[in-house]
Amino acid sequence: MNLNYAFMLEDIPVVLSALPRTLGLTFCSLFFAIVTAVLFGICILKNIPVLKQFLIGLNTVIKGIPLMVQLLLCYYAIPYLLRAADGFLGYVYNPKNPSYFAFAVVAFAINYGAYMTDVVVSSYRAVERGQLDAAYSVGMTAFQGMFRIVIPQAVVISIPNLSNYFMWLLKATSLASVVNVFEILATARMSTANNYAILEGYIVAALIYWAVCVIFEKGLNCLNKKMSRYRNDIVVS
Amino acid sequence: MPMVELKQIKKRLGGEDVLNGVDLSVGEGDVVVILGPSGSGKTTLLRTINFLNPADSGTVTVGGLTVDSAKHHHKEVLALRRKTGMVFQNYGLFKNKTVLRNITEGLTVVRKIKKEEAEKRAYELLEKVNLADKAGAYPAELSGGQQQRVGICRALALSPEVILFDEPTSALDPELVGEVLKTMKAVALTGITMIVVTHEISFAREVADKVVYMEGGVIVEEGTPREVIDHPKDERTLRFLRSILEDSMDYMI
Ligand SMILES: Nc1ncnc2c1ncn2[C@@H]1O[C@H](COP(=O)(O)OP(=O)(O)OP(=O)(O)O)[C@@H](O)[C@H]1O
Ligand SMILES: [Mg+2]
Repeated sequence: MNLNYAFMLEDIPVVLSALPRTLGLTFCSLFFAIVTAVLFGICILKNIPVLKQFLIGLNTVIKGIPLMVQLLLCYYAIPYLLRAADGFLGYVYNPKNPSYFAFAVVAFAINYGAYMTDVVVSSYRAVERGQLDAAYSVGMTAFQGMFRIVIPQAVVISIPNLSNYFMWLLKATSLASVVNVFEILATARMSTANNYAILEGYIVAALIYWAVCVIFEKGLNCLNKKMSRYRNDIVVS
Repeated sequence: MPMVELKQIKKRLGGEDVLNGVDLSVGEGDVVVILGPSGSGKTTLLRTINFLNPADSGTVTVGGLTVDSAKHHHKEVLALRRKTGMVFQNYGLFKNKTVLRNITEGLTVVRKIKKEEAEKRAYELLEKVNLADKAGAYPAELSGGQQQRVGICRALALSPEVILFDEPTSALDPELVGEVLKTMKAVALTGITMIVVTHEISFAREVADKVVYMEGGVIVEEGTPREVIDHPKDERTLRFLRSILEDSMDYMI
């Protein structure tokens, strides 16, 4: 195959310049996804009537719609909502400068929040119940037992699953290229607009994604090993 | 005045009467062993004493503090729990904490004792059960017998007025039962009040001041080990003792 290697070399820094945007998108989405998952998870675990059933239903709806479709829905629907909210509580709608980045974050946070809700619920339930009794037996309050014994263990249990979702999310942010967010993929495509080295541009993008993923994968593995030192009942790979 | 007094403890679970008005009085420094077949309500009774599962009605008195099961304030429950310790069938150690932290946790978090002091106390106790070298290990790195001895240290660390033991040896491999029973005997010798649910008849015979036989959520018979184990008056007690003695015979063969 006749690739334009010189252009590829030149293109690397150009595409790399979009890495902060991809990472920003990933971490913002991750943050709000976790917040969503924890809030949903608490409502489900606390068995709050109606709300629990509603959230479980909502979860299946979110999981049943492709992420791409959710991104497009947010892209077109959020501006409508914002316009409707114009003047509400002093909010001023500015149609000239929509934040496509924020719209994408909303879509990712909703989608991944739904999946991570399951992780929150199952990790919490995986903590052996007897330990809370033991915490009470030494005189701890419900709050102390929760924050000193149960939640730290639930967090450790959730790390492998959350790491997987993180890696998927990192790669899924490339979908945001179709809704006007200039992350790695969109930048790679644009950088080839003036020549015909389209394939080269995508190869550069692929290499950058791969390198970033390898680094995060290694880091998360280390974190998991460190955090789950106290569990010898599981094999940490 | 008795150290622990239960009056008319009643509890329903899953539409069934599990405890049907239990009265029990335990003197200071006494070791009471509760015997009874599976499902007779022994665990449920122990857990009503420290309000892990409060009874529906009846009163619990520990060390002069009386709490009404039917209407209890959570402050009363916390105060009552600070007078009791508990040792669990499945050890119940905090998996994310080292042996040392398992023991100091209640001292530093609940009693607000300084860390150094708490650690000193923990090491003293670990020395006594020959586990000082395991202070930095996590529960998953210990044998069942070692975990249970740590569980006993954790309960002792808080100097409770009474310690509740719920079948402390029944999750253990047979060869590990001895070391835990030995520790429990040593604890009994310190003069602390103990309420022990167990099927270890030899322990009851040697250590107990009082043996209580429960069945169907009531106390059928109580007295000295000699009275209850060697000369049971009630047909049900006799039948139960025969069945577990037969089991242990099978075991020996
Ligand atoms: N959460 C619950 N819901 C419904 N029924 C329960 C519950 N917990 C216990 N029970 C019932 O209460 C009865 C007494 O149980 P308990 O655990 O106190 O017995 P036990 O004497 O400790 O038995 P074992 O020797 O097997 O430990 C049993 O019939 C059991 O089925
Ligand atoms: Mg039991």
